[in-house]
Amino acid sequence: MTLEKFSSASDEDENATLNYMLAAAERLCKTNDAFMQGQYQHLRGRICALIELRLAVDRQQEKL
Amino acid sequence: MSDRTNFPLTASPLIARLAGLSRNDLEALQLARLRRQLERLYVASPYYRRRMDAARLSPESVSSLEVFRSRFPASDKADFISDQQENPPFGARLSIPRDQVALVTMTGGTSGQGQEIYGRSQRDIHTLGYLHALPWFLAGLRPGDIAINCVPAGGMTTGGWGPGEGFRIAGAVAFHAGGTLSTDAKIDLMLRFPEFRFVYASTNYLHTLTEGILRRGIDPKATFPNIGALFIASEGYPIEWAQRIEAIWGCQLGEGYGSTQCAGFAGSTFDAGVVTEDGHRGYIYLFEWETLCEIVDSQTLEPVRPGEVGELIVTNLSVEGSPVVRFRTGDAVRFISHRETRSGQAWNAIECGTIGRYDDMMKIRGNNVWPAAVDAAVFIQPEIAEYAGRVYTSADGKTEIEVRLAFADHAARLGTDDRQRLLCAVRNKIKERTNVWMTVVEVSRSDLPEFAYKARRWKDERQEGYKL
Repeated sequence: MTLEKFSSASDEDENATLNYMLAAAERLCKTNDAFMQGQYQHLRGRICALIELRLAVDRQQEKL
Repeated sequence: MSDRTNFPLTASPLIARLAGLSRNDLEALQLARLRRQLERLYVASPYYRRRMDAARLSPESVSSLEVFRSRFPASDKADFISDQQENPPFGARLSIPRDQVALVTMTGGTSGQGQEIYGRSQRDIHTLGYLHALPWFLAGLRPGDIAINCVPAGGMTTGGWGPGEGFRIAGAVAFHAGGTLSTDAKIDLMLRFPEFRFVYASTNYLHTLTEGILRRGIDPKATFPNIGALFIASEGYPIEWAQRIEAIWGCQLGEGYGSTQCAGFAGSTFDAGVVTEDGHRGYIYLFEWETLCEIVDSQTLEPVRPGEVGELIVTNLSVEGSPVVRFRTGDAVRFISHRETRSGQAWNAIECGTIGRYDDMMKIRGNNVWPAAVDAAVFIQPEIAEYAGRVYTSADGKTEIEVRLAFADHAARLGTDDRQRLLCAVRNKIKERTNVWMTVVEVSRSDLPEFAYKARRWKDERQEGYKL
């Protein structure tokens, strides 16, 4: 079975966007606001999960 | 949780900024958000567009909160049910594309009129969490705290989903024990993790939980030394009960007012809790930048004066999916002006522990009787565990009222005379609070139901007595 080739430009854009968002979220997590802290950590967690699940596809593509 | 560095306004600059708004600035913020909401709804919701058109009111013409209050037509449950029937399933008030509905919630249906259906967007889900995390933060919950959620999770109600989102974005370590564990199993869980700091439960369930803990001979103050706050919602209570709960657990009791229509809590106590140091009822401060709250005479819809009881009408200022605009909640609340709270904040408030329902009110022998008033008369006695009431028509056609109550396990040793004295005292207190004499009898605890969430203690069977 072969995997479909995704548009590499689109993948790179999405990965770059997510990485940018992760860096931003990590800056937010350094807040001194205890009420916002949990919310920013939640946001960071969501972004990390999206990066991770995309990595699984990217790694598979690299093997092809 | 009495450390001043942990005081909500110290711990959160964002909340401090909201608390620092003057009344004029707060109302200007409300008006700006309201107009933005109405502009969006005029385009996105046929239901609200029709209401604005019928009132000859455009979003641009809402030049003040007074114009909005006096001219925008209120909606009630019947209006929403009718809208849903004409435009199933969400009604024409859904103001996002249907494929953007990420969560569906419904009201409980206990009124017997039907269930309102709400479609919530992804953004609304965070708002749901925010409007749970906020009151708990004000009560002292902080990231990393262990919390026990005793409210049943999941299902179709906002109350089933909001707490999960709330604890998650608050950064708390939450055990969602409601609806899945029995009271004894919850207590076992607490004993396994005695360092927990926060408990969330309905008023009635906290009573049941406390009863269960005492029955097992556990001293919560000693066994759970880290606990910082208990937080309740949904039902009224006597001040004496609240003071007893605080004394038993050794921590503050906080309260919130919320609903599906408000997409979470519309207000809550601050760090002062439900009872002031001088023994008066505390205040539920309204989150007025999120939910515009009007407290009005239920007949005339004119605003009540500070200190008076009125019906709460709510408007969502940021909810996207199925927002409510001037929705008549049917909740009876006592209005407390921000000037009276002397809190330094410009947030209006409602009184803790006295919220009732206009549709729960019973007309008995010419008197308006609220179940909450009977609750207050019964639970002022610490020896009482639970009660149930019924109004019925006797064989000779008279209205009779029976209150069946059960004593708590820790009162098991009371002799017959003491029990009779207590039954008399309860009967007299009920009369004092309701102007109605009721028959008060003792039953065993097993004869009465246990409520996991909202208590429905009263049955009105009068119509059955008139059947021929």
